[in-house]
Amino acid sequence: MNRILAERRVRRLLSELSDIDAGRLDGSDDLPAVLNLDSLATLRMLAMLEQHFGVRFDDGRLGELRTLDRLLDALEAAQLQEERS
Amino acid sequence: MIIGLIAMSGVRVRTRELAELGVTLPQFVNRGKVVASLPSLGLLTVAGLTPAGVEVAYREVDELPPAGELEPFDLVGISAFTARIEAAYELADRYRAAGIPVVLGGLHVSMMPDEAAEHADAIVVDGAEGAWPRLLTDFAAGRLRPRYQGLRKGVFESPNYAMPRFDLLAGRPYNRVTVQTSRGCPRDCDFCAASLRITDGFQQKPVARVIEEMRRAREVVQHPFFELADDNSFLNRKWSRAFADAVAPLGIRWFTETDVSVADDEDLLARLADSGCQQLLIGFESPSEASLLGIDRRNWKHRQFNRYLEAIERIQSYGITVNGCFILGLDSDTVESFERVRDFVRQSRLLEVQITVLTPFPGTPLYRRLLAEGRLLQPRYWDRCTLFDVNFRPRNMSVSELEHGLRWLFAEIYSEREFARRKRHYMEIVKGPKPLPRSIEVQRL
Repeated sequence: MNRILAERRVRRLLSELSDIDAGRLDGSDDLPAVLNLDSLATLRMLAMLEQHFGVRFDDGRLGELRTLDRLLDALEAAQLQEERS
Repeated sequence: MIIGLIAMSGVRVRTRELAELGVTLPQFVNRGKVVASLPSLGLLTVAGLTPAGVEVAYREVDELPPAGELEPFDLVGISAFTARIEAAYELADRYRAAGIPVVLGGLHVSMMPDEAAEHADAIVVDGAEGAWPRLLTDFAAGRLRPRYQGLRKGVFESPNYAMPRFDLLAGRPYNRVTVQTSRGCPRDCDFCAASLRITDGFQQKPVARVIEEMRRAREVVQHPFFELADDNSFLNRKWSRAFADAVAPLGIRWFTETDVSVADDEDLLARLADSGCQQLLIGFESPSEASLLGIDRRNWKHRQFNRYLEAIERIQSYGITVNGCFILGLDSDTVESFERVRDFVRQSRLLEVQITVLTPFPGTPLYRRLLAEGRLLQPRYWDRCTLFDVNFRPRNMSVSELEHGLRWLFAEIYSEREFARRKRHYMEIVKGPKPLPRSIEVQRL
């Protein structure tokens, strides 16, 4: 999936989950802060994204996935990994 | 009349190597920071017990003016953990030297009343209920007495009960609020320095009162995370179900402490998950059966040992994380115990872990035993009652072996690798086959 499509889907999912218009999020916004997610809610968000896109993020980098840009990078990397395996 | 109520929470680890470790292991200090950031429910309750018409100012000690300046209160009430009690005494001495009367209260003061009385015009022993209103009447009449005995039972019943003054938190940066639903715990572990020391038997607040407190707190603090300031919340299953059902419509997130028996009741677990319960803190104390022997009077925890793993898995399968607590330095612990805890944590796949060192808080059976056995390292070590500093001679290892083992265990348990492992496990539970309770969803704002 190309990055633009992935970004649209991620923004839509975040909007559905948080009732906040994720269309206006900046790529570098701190998502837990903007969406008011505690650490567990942040993990639930990541789990939901994994489930939606059928990927698995790198366990060692979960803590870094706090912005839209980082999420999209991680999605790209995870999808690449899926294709290779 | 203006009464200044001054809260002194938060602790600072004294052992240098441990303090330095905290800088590099964020998860190690996480819980300590959370505790330090909680408002003092005791003082908010004292404020609630204060008659209308008497002005009350709530202060965290860090908000006070710099040394030398004192706010012009007519009366000061101070409450502090054992680890901050020496600083509380210093502050009390300063106010008294300036001619402002001081009242000291709280758990430490209740355990060491004679010591505290040296720094106060009056002390309140046990609960403020039943004591504070009398104290204020006497103070207004100019005949303050040195000691007031609070109630040890009936504290949640009218007319003793008072709604904590959550309105005093308005405009402050709290995102966590404590609410108490009970005092006491029949397990009576010998190291426990919680509310069971100031109550006769287990006391439980009516559900309606707890819910009303949560509603009031929510009017003042936006999206608060509630921490139940209980020793053991779910001893009464009928009450627990009613509580979970009543909390659910509030749409809040909350945390509490309980014991492993909660895993027996899957209906309750489902209701707790639906009610927004995020985490249960459970004292497993040790992964060694022998170390659990004698921890509590009836050896209840020793008898639960064989079901620890199953209980953790069952509770967490509902999306409720278990914060497993382990104590190092128990009499049966040896230098092998540290690895055993690390292995148990991995095997159990606990989602959060709290490692502490056995701490002989004053007033506990443990304190009296170690004192009698001549095993306390110093006669007065209150500022080292941080749960991380060693204050006694362990039975089967040296002090330095215990300190070294703790540092090793902290580095293992709170490493990025282990933390990532725990996060992954939680995500897999969330994605798992069990029907997701409402609280599994990312919270809707």
